[in-house]
Amino acid sequence: MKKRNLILTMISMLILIIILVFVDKNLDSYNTRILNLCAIYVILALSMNLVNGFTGLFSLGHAGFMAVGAYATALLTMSPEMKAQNFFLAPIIKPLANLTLPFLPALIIAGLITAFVGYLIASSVLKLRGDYLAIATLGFSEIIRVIFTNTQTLTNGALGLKGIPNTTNIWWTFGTAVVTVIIITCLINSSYGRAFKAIREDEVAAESMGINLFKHKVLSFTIGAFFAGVGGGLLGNLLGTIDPLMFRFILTFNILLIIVLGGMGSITGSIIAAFIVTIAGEALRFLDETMNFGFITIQGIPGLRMVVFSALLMMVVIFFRHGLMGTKEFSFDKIISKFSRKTYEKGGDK
Amino acid sequence: MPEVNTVLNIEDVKMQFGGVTAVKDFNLNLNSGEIVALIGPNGAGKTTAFNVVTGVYKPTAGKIYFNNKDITGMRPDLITKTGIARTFQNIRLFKDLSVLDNVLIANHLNIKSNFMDAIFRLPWYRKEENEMMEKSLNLLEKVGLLEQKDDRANSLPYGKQRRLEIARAMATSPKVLLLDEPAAGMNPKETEDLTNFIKQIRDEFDLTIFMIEHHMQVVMGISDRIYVLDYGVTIAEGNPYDIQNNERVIQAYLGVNEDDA
Amino acid sequence: MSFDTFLQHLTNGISLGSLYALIAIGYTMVYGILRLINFAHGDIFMMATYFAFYGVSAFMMPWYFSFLIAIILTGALGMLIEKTAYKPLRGAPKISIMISAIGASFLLENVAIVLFGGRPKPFPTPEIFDKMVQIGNISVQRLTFVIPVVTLVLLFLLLYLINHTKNGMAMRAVSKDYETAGLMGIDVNKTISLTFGIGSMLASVGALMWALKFPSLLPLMGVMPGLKCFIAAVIGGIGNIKGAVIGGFILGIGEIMLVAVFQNLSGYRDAFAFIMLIVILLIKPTGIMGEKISEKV
Repeated sequence: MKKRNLILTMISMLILIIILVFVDKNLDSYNTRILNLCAIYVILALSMNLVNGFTGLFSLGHAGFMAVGAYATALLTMSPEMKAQNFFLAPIIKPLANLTLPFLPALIIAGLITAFVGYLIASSVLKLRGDYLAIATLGFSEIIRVIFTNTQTLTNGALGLKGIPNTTNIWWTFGTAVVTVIIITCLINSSYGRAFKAIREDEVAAESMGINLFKHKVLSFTIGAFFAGVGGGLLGNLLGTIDPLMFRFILTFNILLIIVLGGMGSITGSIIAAFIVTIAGEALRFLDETMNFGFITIQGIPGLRMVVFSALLMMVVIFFRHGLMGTKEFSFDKIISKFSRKTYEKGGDK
Repeated sequence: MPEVNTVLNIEDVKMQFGGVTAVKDFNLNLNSGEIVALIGPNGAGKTTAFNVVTGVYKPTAGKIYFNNKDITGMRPDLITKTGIARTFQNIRLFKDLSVLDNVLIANHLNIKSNFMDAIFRLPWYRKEENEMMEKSLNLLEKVGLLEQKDDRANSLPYGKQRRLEIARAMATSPKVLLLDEPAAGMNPKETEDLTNFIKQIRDEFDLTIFMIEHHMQVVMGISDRIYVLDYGVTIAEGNPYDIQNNERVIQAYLGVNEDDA
Repeated sequence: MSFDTFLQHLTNGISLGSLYALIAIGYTMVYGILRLINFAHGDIFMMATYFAFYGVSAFMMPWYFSFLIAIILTGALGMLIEKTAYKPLRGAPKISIMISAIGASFLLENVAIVLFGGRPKPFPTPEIFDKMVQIGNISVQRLTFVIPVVTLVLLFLLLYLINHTKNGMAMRAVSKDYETAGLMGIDVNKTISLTFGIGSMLASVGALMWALKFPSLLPLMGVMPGLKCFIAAVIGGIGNIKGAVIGGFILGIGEIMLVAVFQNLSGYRDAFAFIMLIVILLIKPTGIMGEKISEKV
């Protein structure tokens, strides 16, 4: 069984690579950008789902982590000339002025820095339960943003950073997304993943079964922060410019929408929902803009898109609390057994 | 003379919640291999006593020793690691997880590999995982739940859920097992099976058992000694025969007859 | 800093603190009764100002009438949100209802953007509030005094309602245990609606006074005050009305004083509230007036 699944997974990977080659060569930049965003949101959704969906911690601080990752990656990959250009109000601090790294080490370092920030925040805040934890993480996210707005020599303050090298491409985003899916899946299916789920299901029972709640919550949170930082880094180097205003609560909200829609506690659900929400977000952009059909012009109303999204989130959470997948996952076994059963029922040989 | 080894010592434990004293002057000794029962009317403080022993509550006063080691006020997960496991009065299974996962989780406390080892499935992690799997499957077989291993814990009938909870507690490799009303909600046949089961696991796994129970057939049937709690105070201690004939115990359960008062 | 300047800042701080207090009460009442953080509360604050604005500009009503209508409409809006976004989720896990609250908040904000447009609107400021008052060497807007007075009066009325009326007792009972309260014959739904209504109306009064003080209306104007007032409620002990008032004043006065004393830190003005939040959550999470709730195992 396992061998068959491995082969099927390899074939899927191959198909993905072929698709990516095709996309890379033929797709226009607008649609490529959307695909890149989809992959980045997969990473972000998984990072949030690990903490909120699998471990049951209500963390609303994701935007802050993304900011840390984005700024770290940008500052590590920008050329000294670019930095000098940006930091005209006040020069960037000495060690960073001449430091430029290739994309991969920059991303990883950014991820690790974010993980460290996550670890610090987690250690102070994870003793809180439920609502308090949510507000505390939200608070930290805002504090990070305010700090970034005021540290002129490190982040260029409110001006933000422009001219970040556009090193993000379809291979980076999908490659990182695949790696993230693999790592998170392996983590969730391991003994540690089970410990996370136990904490989600019943903390008191989990602790009585010998699980160190604090240690595992911090672990989950820190790993989530790592991937959020990586996602943020990819995003920054995709967009080319970042500023503190980009990392307000609405960013966390978008990811929250994705994991609720996909099913908190389902990796497959997050992947599917990331694509759906990102593509729908772009598709619904027309709501904000004026549509010219030639014979009719429908006035766009800015903000309508978000109205739809908010209403959507509420409807999903009120009527379809478990989202698309609930806690179920895609598995080759389930699909194959579905087909086998059909063959059997039709009277054929299995 | 067989050697008597005191495994658990509860000394002068008092548990106060604000103005309410749930447990007062609680003293109890558990000797290796014994089955000791804690009985008493509802609200007497029995589960509170359990919670104090397992670290869920920190006692207001008093001490608890496990194999002469002071475990008073230790965190629950650390107490479990020293060798005390428990089940819950209201069954606290990991409802949405599978039967197998419930038991597997209880193996996690002894894991030596770290999370990176786990993610990358390094050889020593895979070895530990296999051992955990084997142990859990064996335990499930022992309690007769092997066939349901992939079912959601919540989908099991009540009696089987209680068995699962016991299997899960045993997966932590305890030396002392605390059972909180294991026979609650069971019919006579199930109760009889449970009684035999408890004796069986005590013998097979070299356990010491401390249980809270209301079903008198279970209590009188297998307990070596019984403690009786009423309004947080120990009112009697002894073997089943003595307890059954103890005036104070009878009064506590049935109330004082007004004519005799 | 001269004594006069200090007094000036203090008066401003008390004024701001009163506003925060009024809004924080709404959060605390809802949390007390439903254990829910009503994320939409800050946006209800925003809607109140727009109701008043349109009352004066579109319907040509005199300001006092417009304000009154705004207060009533806002109360109704609060009750509507409760019925649609929170009531259906009453038995659901806490995370669901919180997500619904966040959704409701975003919905209100974006509906406001769609309906009112993103450009700031000028709030009508009746002359009666504008006049300056001279006290010693400092010159203060009349409004600055009106605010704490109104707040105190309302607080008094609210405490009377809670402690000396039947409805108030119902609210207290429901906040302790709504199932049992229901079994005792209390109309739980009505009580919850009433709580939302009162909380929203208090917030609307706060909003109107806020708009008088800072007369520029934006759809997102409720976000920061909303967050800060929630933090005020937490600092004071969430669920506790007196605590909310204390928290409001601590934040209001603290914020003004911080910027007054450390002028170069003015960029961190908003962060002050968040830092206070983290501090209180680490030291005494149940807040200044809060009590510990233990879980029965």
